[in-house]
Amino acid sequence: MSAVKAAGVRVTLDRKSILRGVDLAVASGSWHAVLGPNGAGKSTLLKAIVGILPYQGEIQVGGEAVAKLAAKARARLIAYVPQQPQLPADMTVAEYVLLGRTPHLGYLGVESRTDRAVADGALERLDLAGFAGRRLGAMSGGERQRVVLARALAQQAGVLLLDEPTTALDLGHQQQVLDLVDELRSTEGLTVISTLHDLSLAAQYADDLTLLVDGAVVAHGTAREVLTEQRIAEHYGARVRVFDDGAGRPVIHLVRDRRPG
Amino acid sequence: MGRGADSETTPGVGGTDAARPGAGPLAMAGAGEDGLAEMNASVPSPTGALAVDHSATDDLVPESAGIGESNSDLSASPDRSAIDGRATTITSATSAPHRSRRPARPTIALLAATAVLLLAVLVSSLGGAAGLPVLGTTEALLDKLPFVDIHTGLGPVQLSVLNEIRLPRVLLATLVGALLAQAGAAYQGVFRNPLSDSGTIGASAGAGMAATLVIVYGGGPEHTVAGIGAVPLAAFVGALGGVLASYVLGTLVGRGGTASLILAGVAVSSFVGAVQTFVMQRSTADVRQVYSWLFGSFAASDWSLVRLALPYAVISVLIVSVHARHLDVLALGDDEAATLGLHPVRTRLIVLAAASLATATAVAVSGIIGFVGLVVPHVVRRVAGPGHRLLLPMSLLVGGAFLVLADLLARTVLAPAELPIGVVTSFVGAPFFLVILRATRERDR
Repeated sequence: MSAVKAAGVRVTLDRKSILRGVDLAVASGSWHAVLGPNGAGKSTLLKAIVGILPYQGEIQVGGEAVAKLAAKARARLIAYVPQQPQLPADMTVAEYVLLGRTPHLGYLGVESRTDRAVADGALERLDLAGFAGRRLGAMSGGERQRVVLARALAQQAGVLLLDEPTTALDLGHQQQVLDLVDELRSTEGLTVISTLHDLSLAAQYADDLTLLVDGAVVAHGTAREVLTEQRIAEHYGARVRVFDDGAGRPVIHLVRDRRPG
Repeated sequence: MGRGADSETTPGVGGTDAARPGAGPLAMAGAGEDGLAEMNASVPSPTGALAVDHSATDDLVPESAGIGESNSDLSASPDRSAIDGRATTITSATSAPHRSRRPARPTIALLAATAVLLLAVLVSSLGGAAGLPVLGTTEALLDKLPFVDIHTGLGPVQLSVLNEIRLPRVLLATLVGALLAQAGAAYQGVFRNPLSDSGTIGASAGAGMAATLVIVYGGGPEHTVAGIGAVPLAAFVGALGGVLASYVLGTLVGRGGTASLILAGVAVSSFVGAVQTFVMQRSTADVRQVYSWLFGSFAASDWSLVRLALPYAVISVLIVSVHARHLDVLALGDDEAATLGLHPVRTRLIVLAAASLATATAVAVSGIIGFVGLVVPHVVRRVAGPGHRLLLPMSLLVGGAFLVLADLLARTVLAPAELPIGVVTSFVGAPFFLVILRATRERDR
C-alpha cells in the first residue's frame, strides 16, 4: 500500500515562503498530476515528499510519516526522477541502473545476485537490455529518460515522483514516456505523482490533479473538474478553450489574440 | 483506463518517419541476421503494443521487412537515427544479452597493474649509483616475502645498499604515489570535478606554509619533536589545517555544497600562499631549503619514515576504499544521492577527511609532489571506466608505480645530483598524459 498523504506542508527557502500549507491525497496505484504556473512550487512539493527539502507539516506514505524514517528506509518507499537527472557520461547504462539498488544495500554497498537480477529486470522492462554496456553519454534524449526510469524502477519503491518527465522530449517521446509510466503504474502497482507543464497531457494521463498557485492549492479533483477555461485564464493568465476529447477528458487549446493590431 | 489505445491513435509521427526512407534500416543492412531475427521476435503484438516497446526494435527492422506496414503504427522520432550508426553494436549486444560489460576485465586490470607496480619496484631497486645485479636483487626481494626463503648471491655491502638505502626509498615512493593518486581520485569523486586534487581544498598550501614556517623560524629540518622531524610534522598538521579551514569556511558561506567548498579552498590556498611568500621574502637565506622541500624529494627516505607513514596510509586507504560505491552514487549529485538513501554531506566529509589524511601523510614524508593526484586517476579512468570500485584500487597501484619510476629518473638522470621529484612528475607526466588522452580519445564522444 503506497497511498500518499500530505497535510499542511510548508516549505520556506531563504526566508521566502514557497509552499504555504499544501494538502494532497493520492490513492495507492493512481496517477496524480501536480499543475501550476511557473514558480507555483510544484517541484518544491515533490522535493519535500522525497525528503530532500526540509518542511513543516505531515507527509505520509502508506500511513507512515516519512520525516521520521531514515534516509534509506524512505528511499525504499519513494523513488524520484528529477527534471534534469545527472547522467555521468562515462557510466554505462547497467552501472547506472544498478545504482537504483542503493537503498537496499548495506554500508559496504555489495550488490547481491538479487540486486543484479532486479536491475537486469528493470533494464528489460524498459527495453534497454541491449543497451546495458552503452555509455550514458551516447544515449539520446528519449533513451536517457527511459534509463532514468529504469533506475527508479530498480529502486522498487511503491511511489514514483516525476518532475516534468516530458521536458526536452519531442512529441513522440513525450507520449512514449508517459505511456510507459502508465503501464508501469498499472503492472507494478506504482503510485505516480508527477508535475506536468502540459495541461492536456496531464488531463490525458492523470486520475486526479492538483492545481498549485503561489504555494497553495487552488483546486483539486479530476481533470474535468480542475481544468476549466475560467480557472486557467485566472491562474495562468492564458486565453484558452477547453474541449472534450470524446472520452471525457478535457483538451486545452491556446487561443490567439484576434484583435487587429 | 482505455489508454492502451492511445499509442495507436497517433500514427502521424510514425507515418512521417516511415515515409523518410529509413536511415536506420539502411545502416543495418550488413549486420547479423540472427540478431535481427531475435529482435523481431520480441516485438509484441500490435494491439497491446506500447510505443516504447518498439524503441529498440524499429531501427533494427530490415528494410525488406516492409517499413510501410511495420513502422507506420510506431511513434518514432528523429533521435532514433542517433542509434543507427551503432546498430551493429546493439545487435551484438543483444545476442549476448545485458551482462554488465566485460566481467573479467576488473580482475585482469588489477592483476596487470599489480604486475606493473612490482616491475617498477624491481627496476627502481636496481637503478642507482651502486650497481646491483638483476638476478641477485630479484632473489633478495623475493626473499623478503613471507614463506619464501632464497639464498641470494648479493654480498653484504650490496645487501645493505638494497635494504637500507634503496628499499625504504622505493617503498616510500610507492606509498606516497599510491596515497596521492587515490586521494586525487577521491577528491575528484567528492567534488564531482575532474580538476580536483589535494591542492583544491587547501591541503598542499597548508602543508607548504607550515613547513616553510618551520624551516625559516623553527630550527629547520634537523629540529625534531618527540623523535619526529619538525618539518614532516608541520606539513602533516598544515595539510589537515588547510583542509579544515577550507571545509569550515565553505560550509559557513555555502550549504556544504561542492562549489562553495572548492571556492573556500581557493581562498584559503591563496591566503596561505601569500603568507608563505611573505615569509620566504623576508628570509632569503632559507629559500633554497624551502624550495627543495616544496618540490618534493625522497632523498631523506629511511625505514623510520616508512614506519611513520604506514599506519596513516592504511587507515586512509581503508576508509576511502570502503566508500567506493558511495562515490559512485555521489556522481549523480547531492539531491539524487539523497533520494537513494545516501547522506551526501556526511559521505563527503568522511571521504574528504580520509583523503586529506592520505595527502597529509604523503606531504609529510616527501614534500609537495604535484600532478600525481590529478593525472593518475584520469589515466586509470580511461582504462577502467568511472566506477570507483575499480578506479580507487587501480589508482593506488598505478600511482605507486608512476612515482617509483619518477623517483628513479629523479635520482639517476643527473646523478650524482638529484632532480626534485615534482619536476620529474610534471616534466614526464604532462606529455605522457597527453599521449594517453590522445590514445583513448574515442571515449570522449
